[in-house]
Amino acid sequence: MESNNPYEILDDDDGFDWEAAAREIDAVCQMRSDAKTNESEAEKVCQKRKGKGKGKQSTLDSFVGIAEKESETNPVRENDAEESICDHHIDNEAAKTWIYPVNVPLRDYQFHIAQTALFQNTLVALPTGLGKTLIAAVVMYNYFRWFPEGKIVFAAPSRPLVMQQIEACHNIVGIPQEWTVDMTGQLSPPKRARLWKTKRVFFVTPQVLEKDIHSGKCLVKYLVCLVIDEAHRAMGNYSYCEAVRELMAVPVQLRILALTATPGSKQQTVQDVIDNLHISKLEHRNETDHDVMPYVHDRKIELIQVAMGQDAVEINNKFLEVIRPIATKLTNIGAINRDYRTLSPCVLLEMREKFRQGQMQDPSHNNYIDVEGYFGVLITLYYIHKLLSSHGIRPAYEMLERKLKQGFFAKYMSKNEDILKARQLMHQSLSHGASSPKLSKMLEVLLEHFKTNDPQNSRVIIFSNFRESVRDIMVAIGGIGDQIRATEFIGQSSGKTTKGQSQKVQQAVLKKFRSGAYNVIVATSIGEEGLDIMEVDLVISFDANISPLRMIQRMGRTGRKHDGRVVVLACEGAELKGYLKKKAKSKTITKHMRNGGINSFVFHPSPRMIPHIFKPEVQYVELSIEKFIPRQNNVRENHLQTSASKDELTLAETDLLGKYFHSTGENRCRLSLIAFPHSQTFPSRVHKVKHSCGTWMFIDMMQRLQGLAACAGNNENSTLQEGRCLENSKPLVSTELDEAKNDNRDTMGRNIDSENCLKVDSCHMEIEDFVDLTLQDNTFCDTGECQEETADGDETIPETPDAKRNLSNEGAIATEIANSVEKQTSSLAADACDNGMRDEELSPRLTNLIISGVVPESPIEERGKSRNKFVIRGCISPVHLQEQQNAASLSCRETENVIIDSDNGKNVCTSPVNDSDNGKNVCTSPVNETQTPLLELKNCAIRRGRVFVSQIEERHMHIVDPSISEESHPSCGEMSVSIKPARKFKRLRKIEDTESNMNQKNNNIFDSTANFSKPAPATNRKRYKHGQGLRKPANVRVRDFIEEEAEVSSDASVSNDEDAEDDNSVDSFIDDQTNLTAVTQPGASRMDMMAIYRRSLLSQTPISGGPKFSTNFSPDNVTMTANIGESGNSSVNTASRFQTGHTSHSANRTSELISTDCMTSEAGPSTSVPTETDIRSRKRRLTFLNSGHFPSMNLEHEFALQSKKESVNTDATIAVLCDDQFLNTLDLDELEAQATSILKQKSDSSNQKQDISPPSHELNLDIIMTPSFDLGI
Amino acid sequence: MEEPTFEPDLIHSIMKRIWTLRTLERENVATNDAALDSEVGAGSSKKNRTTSGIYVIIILLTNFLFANASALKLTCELLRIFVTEAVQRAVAIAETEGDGQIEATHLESILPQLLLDF
Repeated sequence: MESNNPYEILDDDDGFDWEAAAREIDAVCQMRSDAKTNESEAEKVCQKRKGKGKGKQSTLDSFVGIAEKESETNPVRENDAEESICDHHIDNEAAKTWIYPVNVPLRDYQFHIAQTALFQNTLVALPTGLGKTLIAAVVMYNYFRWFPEGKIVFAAPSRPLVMQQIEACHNIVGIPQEWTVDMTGQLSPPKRARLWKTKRVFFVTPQVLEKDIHSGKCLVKYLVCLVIDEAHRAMGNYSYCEAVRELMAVPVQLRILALTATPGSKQQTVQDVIDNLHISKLEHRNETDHDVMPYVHDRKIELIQVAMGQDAVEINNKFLEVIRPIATKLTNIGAINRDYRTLSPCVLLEMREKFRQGQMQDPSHNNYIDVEGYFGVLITLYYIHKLLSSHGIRPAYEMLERKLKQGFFAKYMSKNEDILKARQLMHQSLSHGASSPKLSKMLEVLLEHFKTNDPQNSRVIIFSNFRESVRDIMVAIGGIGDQIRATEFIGQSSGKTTKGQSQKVQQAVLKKFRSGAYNVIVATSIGEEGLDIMEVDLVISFDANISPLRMIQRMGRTGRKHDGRVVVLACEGAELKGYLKKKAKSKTITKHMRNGGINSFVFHPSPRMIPHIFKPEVQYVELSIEKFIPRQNNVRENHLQTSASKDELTLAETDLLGKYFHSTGENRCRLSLIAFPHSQTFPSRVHKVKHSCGTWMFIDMMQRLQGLAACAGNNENSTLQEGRCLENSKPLVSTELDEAKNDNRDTMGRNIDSENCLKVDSCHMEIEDFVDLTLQDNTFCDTGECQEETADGDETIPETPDAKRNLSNEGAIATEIANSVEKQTSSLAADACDNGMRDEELSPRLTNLIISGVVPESPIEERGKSRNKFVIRGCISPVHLQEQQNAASLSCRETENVIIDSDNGKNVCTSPVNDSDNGKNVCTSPVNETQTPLLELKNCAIRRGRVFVSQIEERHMHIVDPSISEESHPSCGEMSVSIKPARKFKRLRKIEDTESNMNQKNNNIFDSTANFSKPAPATNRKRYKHGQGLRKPANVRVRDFIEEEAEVSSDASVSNDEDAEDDNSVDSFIDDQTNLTAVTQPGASRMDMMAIYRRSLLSQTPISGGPKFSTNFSPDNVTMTANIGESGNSSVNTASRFQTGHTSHSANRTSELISTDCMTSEAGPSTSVPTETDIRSRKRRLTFLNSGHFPSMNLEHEFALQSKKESVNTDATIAVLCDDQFLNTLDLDELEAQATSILKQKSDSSNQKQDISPPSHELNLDIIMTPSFDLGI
Repeated sequence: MEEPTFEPDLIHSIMKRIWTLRTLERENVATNDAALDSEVGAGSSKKNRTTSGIYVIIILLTNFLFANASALKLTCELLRIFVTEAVQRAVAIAETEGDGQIEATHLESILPQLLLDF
């Protein structure tokens, strides 16, 4: 080991036991490696050490064993050392070598110093420009390699230096930049704490280091290497010392490498540095050393003696005159013991300190304050005196002026004649413009320099100690000519008369200096140290009497890469003497440092850091170094630039901007919120953000507003139009059913098509929303899909007119009114036929279709429309019910779908508000014309459905709550009602589609039927559930859902029965209609209904409703069997026709009729055959009653029904309830009036129907239908 | 790569402009201090409601004079969503009307609901 030499020297010293021990260890290891192989040994040890640091221990043990002659204390110490060493994880492979970069030509002294510094704490004293940074970088890089987790700190005393060194180190060894970071006081402590954790190589200022070590942010345990630049500052309480002291107190094992060009001007200061930094070895090189010589450029140092000017001498004498009496006084006291002419501020300071100490011990002097004052005055005077001699008159004068204005000096000296005289002299000389001899000499030198050197490439630095003189120099240079471009380079602090330069300005100055914008810098001491102010040809030291340390630094600015020249301007007299004295002193210190300063200084032991088993071999590597990327600032700039370029607007964009954001504001486009009220009546398509509840409320509001507005005028028109259409269709049907239907259908289909898109969208929206709301079943999602498919079906509708026509032809019966419905149904049927999958979907489609179909009808009657919608929905459900029988195992999905449908219907029906909404929707739709209204209606329904769904859910949840239960009841009732009509429609459709298959609803073959049937059960169940839930809450309100469920199950079973009956019921519907017509009781019954209705309203007696229902049910059942689907179709058709044909009132009535039909059909299944007409009438009454009645009434009815407990009954009741709700929304009086008129109309229509119906054939029915329409119109 | 969004700096400068305008306005209308105070009161009472979306930004602009980095980031994201949603909805309308270009009318037709949705 090369490091053996120093150890030998240290050997005798007790303080270096550790070193000796280490050496011994080395020897032992050497022996062993001879015997075995070095590698295996090393590996073994490594393994052991990995275990718990025992590796080292083992070597020690062996060492102790072998070399017992060693002092007994060794093991102990070694153990300590061992432990601490093992704190750091070492990369064993990397530790076998150490890297020395050969990117730059190798210099022997650098190599040796680096090698030494790797294993000992080293103080490197190397003249400036000889590459101290390279040594530091090599050491850091190797520690970076050896200790994968170790952290390395490079401390430099100022921020510019930190920045400079991080770049320099990077360019030498290329430590990856992601591991390095520079931290100064500008970084916030939390940020620093984070960086301390994440980074490994830190370039910091000593203040940061000290603070972070103190606060614990710096993870001292991981520190392996500390490099201290400008180490001569490590004096007293400077941060360097504090930081190292803290580190040593931890204690932590780390390598300290101190770098300086000037370790100190005295032996003591150097020793202090060594003590403070725990240095074990001093590596000192001098320009004259043999291994450095080749790299040192010739640096000519010229000392130019300048005689003081005449004025200056005079003034100087005056000052001495002022000083003399004061100095004499002090001398008498004994405070000064030297000739006043040799005194200087520094000496005076020392003397004052001494005097103060004496005073402390002997406070007997009562003139202490006077003495203090004298000292102060003297110091100031000498200071001015010094300024005068070294910097000229002006700085001295300014200082004097300043001092005379304030403080003790002013008080004491302002009356002194001599000082005033001196001041006057100075003022005179200044006003004459006489420049100091130094300045003129300096200018001489400058001009001479630039004569021989190219002003473009040559650089000059002028150092001066005072800012005042810097300004003088600048002024002086300013008059020379443009050949010399000078600038000042001063510190940050702003003095009283001059403003400091910020670091940014400083950087800019240096940058311009490098680029050649300036070729002369006039600097204060800030330019002396470390800053790599490029290559300078000439350094002028304006004042000579400075510490040798600073003089060396000043001189170090030149002669770095090529020859340089230093000119020292010294004033004759005190300054020159001082300069010479200090020069001699620095020579003696260099003598001390010869031979590593071993004889002069006391060193401290330091850990080797790398275990002794490792004997790293040097490896010369040419490192590939990536370009250094300055951190943060530049990156941010780049970012800003790119973003700025991105932000550039194209011409088109600026045009757009101009259009919409015209500065004058005249052309400003102000978006209007009220421009499109119509588009606010349905939810707009959304992208990713769903509509909020506020939006839904808003849409509802808009619908109401617009619906009310539109209803008045447009309803009639629309109805009229519809009526015409109906008329047309009807006659056609009767005579040329096919053609007329086709036409109608085509038109309808087209309309539908046009509207379909919107509808589909709305449907989708609704469906999705429902799904979301329900969430309960995954199947709901399926339903949503189904709805989408239904949308598809709607789209297909236009294409399928033929089939529809056929169907219509066959079923021609009822389709006229509900052409659209029929079309839809037909399309649905077709779809169903096509895809089995669609069957499930069909139900939703059906609902959609129904809705669409209903829509045309609905426009006619506001209320009726809503009802129609409900009916449509209901239709789907009934179908399902019917099919339940067929397919008991119907897919839950379908059922769920149905449920959804029912929910929709329920939703619509449930809240009166909703009803009103429906009415509104209806109104709006008429305005738009039937087709559009249909779409809107759908949308509305959908919206309502959503709202309702939520409500329904809530109700279900809160069935316990009476109020909720009540609400839920109506909703349920609505649901049921809707379902019922749906059944009818379905039946009609089925009939139409399958014709002969009507009876064969059981047959699964018919997809459409199957679909219908499937959903129906679900709907039934739901209905049952709802009904049950409603009933129970209404009745008991306390009953549990379980019970309801049980009921539901029972209902389901019942429904199965009913399904069988459903077919019947369909038939029964037809029958009912026929019966009704045939019976020709309608008028009377209606009248009765009205009466009952009123009674019910007044009395609100549930009993009446209940019995009626029961009776109704019984008859229905009887009739159902008898009647066929055809009749049902006819009835439905008639109903629809009535609705369309009639005005709103008539429509309402028709809807009521339908509902009543539904009721009858439902009731039919229940049991008796009795007069259907009665039933219907009752139903109607019930509905009216319901409408008139409050929810309680409905509930009562329901209860009664429940008591009868037939699921069908419940449905019927529900339907009634729904009607009630609708009615509720309406004014009772109006309702009554309407009812009366409706009844009349109905009676008429029923009569007609009856007339026609007797045949009970489809065609007949159709024919009948047509008349009814006519009547309605 | 995350979607392009607004530059926080841009948003911040816009907000700062609004703030300065507001303060200027407030100074000019110093006489109406009472009214302003009542407004502030109303604003704070509104704040008690669950606020979301654009309303937050409005609060930010009216009740505060600063926004920290995360608030800015959130604001940017919110604005991005808002703008994309507005554009997409307007596109939907434009497409249904067969226009290949979004016009102000398209925006107007979706604006009320859009504003309610945020």
